[in-house]
Parts: sequence; C-alpha cells; structure tokens
Amino acid sequence: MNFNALIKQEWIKLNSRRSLIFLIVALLINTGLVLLGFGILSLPPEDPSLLTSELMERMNPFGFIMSNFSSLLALIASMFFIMQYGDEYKFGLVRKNIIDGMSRRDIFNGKMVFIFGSYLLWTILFIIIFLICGAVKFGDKFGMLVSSMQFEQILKYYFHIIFYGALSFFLVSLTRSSMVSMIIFLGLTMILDQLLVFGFAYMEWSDAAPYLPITLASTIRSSENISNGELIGYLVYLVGFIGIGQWAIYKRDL
Amino acid sequence: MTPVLEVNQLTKRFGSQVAVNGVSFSVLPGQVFGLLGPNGSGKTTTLSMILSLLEPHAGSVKLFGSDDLQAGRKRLGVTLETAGFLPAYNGEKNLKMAALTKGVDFSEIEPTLRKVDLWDARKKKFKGYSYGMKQRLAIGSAMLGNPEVLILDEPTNGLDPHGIIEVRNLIMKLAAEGKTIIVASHLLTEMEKVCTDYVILMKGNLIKQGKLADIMAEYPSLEEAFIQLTKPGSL
Repeated sequence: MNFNALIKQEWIKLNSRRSLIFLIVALLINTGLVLLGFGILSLPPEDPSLLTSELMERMNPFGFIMSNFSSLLALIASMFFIMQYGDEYKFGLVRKNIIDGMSRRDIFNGKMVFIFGSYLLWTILFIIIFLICGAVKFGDKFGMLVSSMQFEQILKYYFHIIFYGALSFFLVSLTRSSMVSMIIFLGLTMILDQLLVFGFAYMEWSDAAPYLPITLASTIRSSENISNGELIGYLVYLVGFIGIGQWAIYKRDL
Repeated sequence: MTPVLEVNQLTKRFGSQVAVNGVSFSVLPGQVFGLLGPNGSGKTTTLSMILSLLEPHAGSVKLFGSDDLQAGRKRLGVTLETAGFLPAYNGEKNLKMAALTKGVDFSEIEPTLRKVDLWDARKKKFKGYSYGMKQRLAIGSAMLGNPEVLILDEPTNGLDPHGIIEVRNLIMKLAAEGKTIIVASHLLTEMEKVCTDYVILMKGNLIKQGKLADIMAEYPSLEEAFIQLTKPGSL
C-alpha cells in the first residue's frame, strides 16, 4: 500500500460527523482556555506597581498559557484517538485491512502518521488560536505576544502532547478496546498520579518523580520548565510505548 | 497447473487445545472449493492462518505458488464472519476504504454497489443495514478489483431463504465466469449445490477430501456422508 493511499484512508476515517463534533468541541475548549489564560494575565497584579504589560512580560504569555492548559487539550485529542483506533479493532477493520492486502507495517505506519501528524496540526491550531485571541485581547501588544513564542517552547509542547498520543497508541494496541484503554488511560493519568504523588512524598523519593512522566501531574506542570533530563525520561517512555505497540501489531494474532 | 492455494500440515493451538491439526489440501484454479465442517471444526481458524491473521504453530501456506502471502492476498477477495466495516459510515464510504487498501480506483465502487443491489442504499449507514445487506456489501467489497479467487466464510449465515438463493446464484455466476471460489460453511445441503471439490474438517482434523461428485456417488447426500464419517469410532 502506498503512502498516499495510507493518508487518504486516515483522512476518510477522520472525515465523519463524530470527528467534526470533536473538532468543534476541542476548538471551543481550546479558545476558551486561551481566553481564560489571557484573562488571568490581564487581572490586576497583586502588586499594584506592576502594570499588566510588565506582568505579561515577566510571565511569558505563550509559555504560561501553553504549559497550564496543554495537557487538557492533549487529553481530548487522545480520547478521540483511542475511540477511533479502538473501533477499528472492535469492528474488524484491522483484520479486513490485512486481508485486503495491507501489511502490519502499513497499519503501524498509518497510526504513526496519524499521531505525529494530527498532534502537529493540533500544535499549529493552538498557536493560531493563541495569536487570534491575543490580537483581539491585546491588539496593541501583539508584537510582544509573538515574540513570547519561542521555538524551544513549541517543540516542548509538541513533545509533551505526543507523549499522550504514544500512550494511547500503546494502550489500544495492547488491549484492542476503547473502553479498557480509556479506563487505564484515565487511571494512569489521574488515580495513579495521586498514588504516586503520595507514595513519593511518603518514601521521600520526590527526586525520582520527574522520571515517571506517566502521570497527569508530571505532564501538566509547566512544560516551559522541563529540563533536558526530564526530556530524556519522556523520550524513553515514548520509544517504549511505541515499541511495545509496534510489537503488538506485528506479532499478535488478530 | 499451479494451485492458487496450498496448505501444508497447518497446525494451530490455543493454549492446550489444538484448533487445527496438521491440515493439508490444495485448491486449483476454477474450483468451487468447500471447506466444510460443523461449528468449531477449525474452518475459520484455517482461513485465518491462510490470510495471515493467525500465526500457525506449524505448517505452511502458499498463495499462487509463492510464500509471499502479502502479495498473494492482494489477488484475493475475502469475506469473513466479522464484516470489518465501520457502523457509523455509509456503505459507499466503507467501500472507499476497502478500495484504497486494495489500490482499486473509486470508479469501480458504483458498478460493484449496483451488482450487489446496494446502490440505492449507498448513503445509508452500515449499522442501519439488514443482515442480508451487510452480507451483500461484504461480498461487494470482496469483489472490488476483480480478484482471481474469492474466499467466503459462512456467506449464507443468518440469511433468509431469498438471501441464501441470491448468494448461491452469485457463487454459481462467478464460478461460471471462471473464478476460483473457496467457501467455508457448515450448511452442507447448500454446499452440495455449489461445490466441485471439498475438504471436511472435524475437531481440527481433516477427515475427508476429494471431488464432490465422488462422495455423492458413495453417499445419498453430503449431510449423510458427514454423519457417517463423523460417527463415533469412525474418526
């Protein structure tokens, strides 16, 4: 199967009413969160000597908004991916694709294109919404907003949300069920998160916490301040998730 | 003549249970080949191994004389018990997905939908289709790209008498066009009407194979043959 056909098939899957509803809801939430972020930034500072513009300069609006709300958006995108991919197993589309001549490698490549491509589009969308909302709210300081966007931050943001995509891919490839994947996903990102936070605090292992980025708390915290060591931690998990998911697609019976 | 399908000592176990035990047979071009046996006899497991959905524990499969099964699968048209269509998509969109996978031009979709009498229902969601319509769409999808061999797993399952006759006529029509057809079914009376060759499976073992005409000369019906062959003590 050629790459073009692979992309077209992913597009046909995306081109549905459910996808449109998801996209509209996600756009509304995205815009709402960006506006909320700008709203917080434009609140009168505790120290009245700080003007709003000074506060904005100090806070870095792009980093502030992105790092505080990006995980929620990534969660929505991941839920969509889990439902989409899980349905393909549930209704036998993966089996059908194999018998129609697709290889297991094609199935894997299709998912990688979907994850890396859709999260890239998501990042671009986030930036566009940031700029539009920023232009409406702070038209006079628009230049400052643009200059607050740094390539490194965008890269970290992308990396940050790709992590959720890889986790979703790993879960669905292993469990082949949207429902089970969703439960584990939420369990990992919420319940386990709390358990780990308490566990690390109790055992006084807080230094190790950043190296377990499977939890919401560790991913939701400011991606602006992610250190290089933590990035390596993310990368190890990312490669691990994708590698195990790939093994499940290549080797397991269908 | 190179067989379109050669199955050699195929074995599959699920835990301690042997689902298919050293099954061997071959299918020649132009045959309507029946893979027969009761539910749980290993028909679908055998087909799944042929189609690379299951990895055999032993044995081998050749399609069109080659070990390259991915290339071989592109020359097959297959319907399995699970249709593999997304219920929220309409019939046409589901066929478009299949056409992309098979590398078939979208222009083939209209004649295919007309052939299986689903053109008027093409915009209806798959979940709204009757069982017969779902089966017809699956057969339509299998026929996309004009494959040399059709593999149909229980094609008449759940169909009413009209549906069964329609599928039977379709099989006979395609056979008359020179297509090779492999049909897995437990409905022996139905298979008796369409097959030229057969294998009978029972509890994962191949218990008899040959020309249908030969077995029909020996027994009054395929059903009777099956009962005699699977009598306790005869296995």
